[in-house]
Amino acid sequence: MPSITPILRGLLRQTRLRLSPKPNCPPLPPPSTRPPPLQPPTSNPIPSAPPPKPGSSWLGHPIRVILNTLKFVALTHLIWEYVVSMSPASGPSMLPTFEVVGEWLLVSRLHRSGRGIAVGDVVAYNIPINDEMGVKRVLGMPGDYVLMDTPLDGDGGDGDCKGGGGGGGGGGGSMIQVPRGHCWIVGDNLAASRDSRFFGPVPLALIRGKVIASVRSFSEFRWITNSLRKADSPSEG
Amino acid sequence: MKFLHFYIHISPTPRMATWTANPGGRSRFLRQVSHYLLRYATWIPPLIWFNAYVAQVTFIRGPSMYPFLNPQYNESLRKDLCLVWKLYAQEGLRRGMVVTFRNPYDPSKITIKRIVGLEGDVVKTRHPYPYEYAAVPEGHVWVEGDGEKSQDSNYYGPISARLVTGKVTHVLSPWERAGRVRWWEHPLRMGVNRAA
Repeated sequence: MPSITPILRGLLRQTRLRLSPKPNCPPLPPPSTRPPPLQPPTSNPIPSAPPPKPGSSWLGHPIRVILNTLKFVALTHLIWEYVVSMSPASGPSMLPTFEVVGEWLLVSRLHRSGRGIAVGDVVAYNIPINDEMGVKRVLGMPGDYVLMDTPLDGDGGDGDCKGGGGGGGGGGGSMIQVPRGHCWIVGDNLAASRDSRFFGPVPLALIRGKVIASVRSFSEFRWITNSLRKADSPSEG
Repeated sequence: MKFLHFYIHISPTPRMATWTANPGGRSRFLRQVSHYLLRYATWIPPLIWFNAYVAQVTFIRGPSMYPFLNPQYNESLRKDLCLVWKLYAQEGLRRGMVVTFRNPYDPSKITIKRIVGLEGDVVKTRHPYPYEYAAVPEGHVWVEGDGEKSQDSNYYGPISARLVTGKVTHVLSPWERAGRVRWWEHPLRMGVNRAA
């Protein structure tokens, strides 16, 4: 029995301590309303456990430690899933922007489900045809017209170069309009990228977040910014 | 400056609210309220986490699963209450299961439909779909509502299984129909050439 009492005391400590007044404070009713002999001058009116040793209150009972750990893990996981996360990326599909191996990407999960995503952003997304994740660049938002296959590919390549490129659409490629709620994502390395040219437009709900920074090593940190800006046509003319 | 003087004046006294009729009562009350609010607030992240990743109780809106869910959608405002199981939602999908998924046309909306075809199936489509037959690509499912008024895969095509957020396992609210969702007893839809 004496060995059980400290455990019970530790379980009850938090509530009991808060409900009972501090030892140096007067009790809740003012002393004038109470007859003096009823109040013992030295002890508390409500019997309570002795105060815990200072420094051990944050640790407390093992069950409370487990509960607090679970709460902390849940909070951390929510921040990881909904605010910011970091993950390694590998593969040649984004080659001029990201290395093949050894690249860690900082992903802003605030941009999940395509919130605030614009053409030119690098996004992390769930690949719709398998259960992996990918990193690609957004080339079309709902309503935009995009080229369905690789520009300068096949027979249309030469003609496009002679024609000076431009927005006329490359070669024999056909264009589609990105359906609503979807986006068109393509890797920077067109030759070695499996992207919307392969599996079609990707639902915005599959976008996990926007890639905001990359870390190649502990020292090399750089922000990833959207290099596609809207041209200020009025200032030109 | 006056505020600072006031602060310095009262700070050494341990009991702050000596001006009330009940000495120490008001600050004690505020302290206890803030203490309990903080203690309850620490349970909010675990609850959100549980709702997002394990299970969620949700009301079903609309007639898309009529008559299986909301059979009185045009007679009363009563909505069915369902338990959506979200753990490993995208694994083990079968034909006949009732699933919730993010709408491919509007990522902020969660839609509830029944799985009709899995990957590799060839589905005979219904009205708004432009072609008579549709092959379900890999990693995709063909979803349809039980009711007539349903914007489903005939409207936006096969959806990626990655969009699935949960499986409807129990009906909770109308007491007469409460219980497990026996999706395996639901007859399979005609006109689906099943791959496996």
